[in-house]
Amino acid sequence: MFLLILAAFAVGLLLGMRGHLQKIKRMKLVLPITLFLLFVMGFELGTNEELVRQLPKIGWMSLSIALLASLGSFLAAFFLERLLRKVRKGWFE
Amino acid sequence: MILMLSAVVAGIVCGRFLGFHLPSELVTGLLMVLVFVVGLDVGGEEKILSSIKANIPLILVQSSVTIGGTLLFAALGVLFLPLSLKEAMGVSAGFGWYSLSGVMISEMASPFLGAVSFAANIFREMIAIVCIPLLSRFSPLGSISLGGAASMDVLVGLIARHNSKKNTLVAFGQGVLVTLSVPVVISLFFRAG
Repeated sequence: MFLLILAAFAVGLLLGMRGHLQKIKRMKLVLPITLFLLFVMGFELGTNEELVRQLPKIGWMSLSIALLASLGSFLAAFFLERLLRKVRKGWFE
Repeated sequence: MILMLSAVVAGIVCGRFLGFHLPSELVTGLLMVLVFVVGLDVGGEEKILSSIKANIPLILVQSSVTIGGTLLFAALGVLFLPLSLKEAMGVSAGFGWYSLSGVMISEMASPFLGAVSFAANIFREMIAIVCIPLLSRFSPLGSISLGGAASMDVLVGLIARHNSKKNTLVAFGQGVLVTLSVPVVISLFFRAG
């Protein structure tokens, strides 16, 4: 499955860079497809009673991951910034 | 974001009452169409692509530290969450692109992990919305990295309001590269099942 998805992504990117298929771009498909996929994801969640019971657990697990992920990427970019400032003053005005 | 949350909630409610399963080929097919169209969109923005090329070294490093910092700290989740290392890092690998990461992980790993990833990446976007205005003066690049993949679409307006033009461009470039990395990184973590 992952190969199919990556292939679709690569083909889309290449065609876009060559300026093909502008008609499809104008159809604004991203939002309707996304909404439908999220509906399907919710649907699968809803049919699984075990999973519905686990929703509170999902809440705190995901909040912990989100806090860790945000802190990690902030710190990494913060240290990059300090390093760049040292290496080359005036990089950021 | 509210629209997307409503779609999930509507799905949960319908699934609760209807209770039949949808074919997973349908999801795979639609995911392919979705990433194809996103690829088409990104590839077609010639002006943006060329201005990104001009700043590519900084954008590459910024995107790498955003991805690396996220995965590294999410890995700390194994210390207190009932998740394996692969799972803790994998669910964070939406980098804010909650719709794709949620759906992909529920297909490739489990609906439970997919739901965790979906919610984690929504929370990340909310954290970014709150923190970017507060932190951009203290550390522009740090605040931009909070936006992850969303810094090329949902958050670009907010970032532009609080940052210089140059850093807004870096943010956009980071959004493009991190967005491109999402399907790849998630596949790396979960393809073995």
